[in-house]
Amino acid sequence: MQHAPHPDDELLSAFAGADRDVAADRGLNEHLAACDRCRGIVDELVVLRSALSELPDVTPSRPLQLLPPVPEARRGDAGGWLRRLVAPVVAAGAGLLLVGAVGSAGLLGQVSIFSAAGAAPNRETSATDGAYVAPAGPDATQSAADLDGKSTDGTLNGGGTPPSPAGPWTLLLIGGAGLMVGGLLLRYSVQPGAG
Amino acid sequence: MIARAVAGDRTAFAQLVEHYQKACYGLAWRLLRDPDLAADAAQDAFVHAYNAIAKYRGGIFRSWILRITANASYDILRSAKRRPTTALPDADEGESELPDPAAPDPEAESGRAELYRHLDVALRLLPEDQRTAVVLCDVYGMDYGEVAATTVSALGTVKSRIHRGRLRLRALLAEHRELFLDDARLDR
Repeated sequence: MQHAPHPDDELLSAFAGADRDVAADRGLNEHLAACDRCRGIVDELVVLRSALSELPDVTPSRPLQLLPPVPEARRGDAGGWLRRLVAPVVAAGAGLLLVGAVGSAGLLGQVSIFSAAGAAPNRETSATDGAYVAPAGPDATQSAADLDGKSTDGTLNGGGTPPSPAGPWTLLLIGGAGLMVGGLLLRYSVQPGAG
Repeated sequence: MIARAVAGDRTAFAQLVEHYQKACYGLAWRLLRDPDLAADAAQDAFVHAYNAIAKYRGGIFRSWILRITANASYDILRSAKRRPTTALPDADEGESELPDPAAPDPEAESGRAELYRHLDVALRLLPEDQRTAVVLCDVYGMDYGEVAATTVSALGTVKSRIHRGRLRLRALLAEHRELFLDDARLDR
């Protein structure tokens, strides 16, 4: 029996895949009914598809995490807002501490220069306790006046007026250290999930 | 359990994922052909599924999570192609890379285990676009539209890839034809 030309193999694959457009093709159905070659291909493809659909699942190569971690904000942690304050408080404390330290160091350096070079001839300082010491000698009375930042003639000292060593720098040092200690205490006293 | 997971029950979600993790990993492994990349894809899919579970609107859950896994796998496939340093395995790396199937032993003990092994080897030998299309359509039951959406391809292109992939598989498995036909006869 003389067959019409064989349909394209991709058409046979579509027929095997139950593609609706192709399955309704009357000409193709008639050809398949008469052509063993094409019918054989379709049958094999149907068996192949059936086997593919039965391929088993595969065990993962490593244990998989079934759940993503719980985001911090979703824990309902009533102490969360307190713990979130820790970092800024500690950072602010560290900043103040640094500014206080730099300021104090600058002040001490300034006083040391005065002492070493004699630029402030009427005063001296002790690097260890930071206290001004009035020099002994004939200028002693004038030195007492200079401690107020003025010369005996009422004008400002040419070398500038050093601030008091127990002034703002020390306060910054103490304040910064206090904030840091407070922040760290907060960090370890508030437990996650604490109500 | 699905309803509880949709309502935000993490335990229920974990149970669901545990139930389907071998199916998800199997799909990712068949698309990516690499155990580590497949595990990464399955892991990504679980996170996507967790984030999207509230929007789940019914239907077959297995199909839903498999679609997510297919998308996650395809993302990895595309990024691996963009970054050649993340080498995908060669198609002809052979059977040594084939994992043990997760199916219970009764099937593995039957003659079908050999059949499945030949199928997986042949799938690995297909060009990537054909393998992806055949795996999604014939192994995991997606329709043409779903395959087209996952692979960001035109419907006609997807059909052509599926049909050419099937024909190529048939040719690759020609020497094992008897195995398939015996299996088909056993089914009847």
